[in-house]
Amino acid sequence: MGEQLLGSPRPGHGRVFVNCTRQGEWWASWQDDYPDDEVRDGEPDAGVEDFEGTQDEVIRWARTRPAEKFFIFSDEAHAYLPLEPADAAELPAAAEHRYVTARAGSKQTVIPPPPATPG
Amino acid sequence: MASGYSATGYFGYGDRQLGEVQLYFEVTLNGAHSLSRPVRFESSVAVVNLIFEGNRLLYTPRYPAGIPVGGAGNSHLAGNIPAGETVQWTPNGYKAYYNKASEQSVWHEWSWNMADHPGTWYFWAKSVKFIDVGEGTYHFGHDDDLGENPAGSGYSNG
Repeated sequence: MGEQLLGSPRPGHGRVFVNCTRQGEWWASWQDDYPDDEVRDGEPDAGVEDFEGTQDEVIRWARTRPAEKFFIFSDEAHAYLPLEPADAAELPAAAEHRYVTARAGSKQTVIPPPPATPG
Repeated sequence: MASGYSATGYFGYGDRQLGEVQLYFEVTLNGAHSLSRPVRFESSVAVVNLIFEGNRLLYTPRYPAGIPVGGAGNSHLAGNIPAGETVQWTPNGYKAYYNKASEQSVWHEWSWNMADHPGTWYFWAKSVKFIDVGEGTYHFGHDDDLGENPAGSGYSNG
């Protein structure tokens, strides 16, 4: 087993998503599914690139991808919202949604998201 | 959004308990891209050849326990782990991309050997299922949305 076989996203295509882990690690992913008639046997059927860093670095990386659509996850909306251009208003709150599942005799808990803070 | 799994497991040889393990993983979704980090392991006794494995699973009515997504699996040899030391799938955990099934999860397995006993011990678990909600994005279900056989363990003499 090795890394998953994926290609590169095509300029002008695909979606860029921005999210943040519970550990506060920012992560962006550009995902482009190739048309079926352009995929040969044994070749990747999608192009994916991703980037991790600080919030500013990740959002900058996301906005500078030549993709078709741009999204950022909002805890308040519990959904992805459009990632506005750099000169737009403030960003939605970072993802902090928590599902904690335990098995094999351990406890099982759902932790609700924290209230969003302004700014 | 993210989903975490944690468990305490016990393993032994014959009728003798050898040790206790703490298992943990956390999955974050970004569109149809999943990131499992941290994927952690700790044992009360030293183990050798610890291997982390990961894969995406897809669910259909025919496969209520999920089946692996071809080509999406990966593994990491963590090696020999002293007692009480917490180790992670390094450096970046497990990532996978798949968007051709409406219901999916992430599966992880921890397996290891013992220096003074034959065989391989293993534990595995699946994340909460996540569902296609459109625009190439997936959301986790409730914490009990696990499908069939969400976790298990065993021993092989091979």
